[in-house]
Amino acid sequence: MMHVGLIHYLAVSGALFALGLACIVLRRNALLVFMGLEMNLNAANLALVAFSRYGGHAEGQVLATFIIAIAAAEVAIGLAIIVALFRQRSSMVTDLLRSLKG
Amino acid sequence: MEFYALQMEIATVVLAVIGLLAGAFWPKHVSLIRRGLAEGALLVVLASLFLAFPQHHAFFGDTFVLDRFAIFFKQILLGTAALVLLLADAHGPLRRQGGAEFSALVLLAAAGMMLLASANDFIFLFVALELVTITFYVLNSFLRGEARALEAGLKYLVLGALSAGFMAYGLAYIFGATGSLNFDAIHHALHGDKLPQGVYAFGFGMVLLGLGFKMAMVPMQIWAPDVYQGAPTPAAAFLASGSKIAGFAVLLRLIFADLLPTAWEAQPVLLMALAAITLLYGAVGGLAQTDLKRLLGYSSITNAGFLLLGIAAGGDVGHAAVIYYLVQYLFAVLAVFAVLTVVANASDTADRATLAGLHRRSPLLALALLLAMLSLAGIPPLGGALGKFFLLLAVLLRARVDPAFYALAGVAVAGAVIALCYYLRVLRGAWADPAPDAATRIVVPWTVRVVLFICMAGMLVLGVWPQPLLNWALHCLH
Repeated sequence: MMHVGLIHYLAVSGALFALGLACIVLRRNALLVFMGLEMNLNAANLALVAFSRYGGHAEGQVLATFIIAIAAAEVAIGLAIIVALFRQRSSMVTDLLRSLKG
Repeated sequence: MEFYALQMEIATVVLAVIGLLAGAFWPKHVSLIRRGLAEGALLVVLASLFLAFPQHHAFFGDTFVLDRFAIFFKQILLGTAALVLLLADAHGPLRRQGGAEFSALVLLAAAGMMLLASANDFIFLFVALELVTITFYVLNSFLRGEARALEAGLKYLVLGALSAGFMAYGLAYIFGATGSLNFDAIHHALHGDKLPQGVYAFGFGMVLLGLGFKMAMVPMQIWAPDVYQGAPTPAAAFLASGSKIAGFAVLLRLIFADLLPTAWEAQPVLLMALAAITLLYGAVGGLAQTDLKRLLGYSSITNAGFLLLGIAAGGDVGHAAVIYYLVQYLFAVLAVFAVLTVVANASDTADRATLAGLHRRSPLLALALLLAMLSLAGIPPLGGALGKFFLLLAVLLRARVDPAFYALAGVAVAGAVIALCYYLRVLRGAWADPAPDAATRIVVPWTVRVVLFICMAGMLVLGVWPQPLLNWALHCLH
């Protein structure tokens, strides 16, 4: 049986972060972009908790708890903005957001 | 009572809550409430000049420090917020939307920035930073009936949340490398021999990316032009002044706490490259712009580049120059946004034609715009000239030991010359272009007059009499 160590947690966290970034860059739907952003934060949470568990310091878990709370606040505001935008345009495709340019 | 250390922040939050409640109970007197909040914030700043702050240094388990540097930045940031509140009261679209929420949110963002100036722990720093960022999501998309404001809000949201993700991920690796998130503990760990330097440098780089969003530093600068153009003018003014100042205050704090990866201090190639690219990106990108608020977005990027010069050069001269530059930049940029708040009152957009014949329609606004643009361009005898001079001085001093800095100084001069072109073009629009036939005199509300007089006085005083602020900045550093 394989032993699961710190490096495995970090690999999963790194993969999650990369997936989140890819989702932000490649997706054209505002909701999916938003999902990618939350994945980034959760990748950080996973790394923090893993470091905390294997390093023996509790501060990482404290920060992870704060990040969860902050992510919730961010979702509340972010979804409000996306809903307001949807009401105006009846679309969530980010390609349409091109009215601001020089 | 440790909570005495938080007196300025507590006063600010109490003001915001009073504003929210008063706005809900007396909706007919909202304008009065908004002005009351601005005056209240100014009063807190004045009171803080005379109030005794606790003598000892660190609070709440070393997560919060209260030194001269922190108090100085708290006063600057709350003062900025007060001026922005005065602008918000004069801003047409915000008045039509009604309510005191915008003002209350500006104060809450200011409270977050003031906490940032004191942060001595990455958990504290992250929470305070997100208080500012999340409040700005709302401020930028506050005019929710307008497509432009919502688009600006969404763009700021995506980039802001991305920067938060970078920062959180970087913090995880800093924590992994050092086993702590407290600045003092990390400082000790950095000088131990067991530290994995590469892991720490990676984490710090990610944190720098997250901060770069606040400072409008390449590669996290892409939001600036769009958001400045689409957001309500007072919100953009607060982004350009308060948010940027808070970002640089945090960066300076990280440097004072001696948290830069050791490899970066000996060879600041990365910081130098960031400074040069940021500076040139803003200068070149601004050349083709016709919308003034968008132009200010690029100007904000250029100025972030200039400020990074001082950070890269380092030393007491470099850091004092950064503080000096931040203060003079604050006056100049607030003056421009104050002018735009009034001129573009009806539509909240500002292409160059809106400024045509400004010197006939309102001599006061034209004069303020003239001083602010010359100061931003770095022409004596205004604050901007000395700010750029001190930064270049710091770079040249460093160049005596590290010749690569001569190249950086060359880039800075080139960037300043390119930026000069677009600042002067704005002035030509305001002073030389004939006013359209339908143009009438512009009435400047007294709230904006106050802001303009404070800003003009600030630019002129800093331009001819820099010693007090410079001495104070050096004093703050020790």
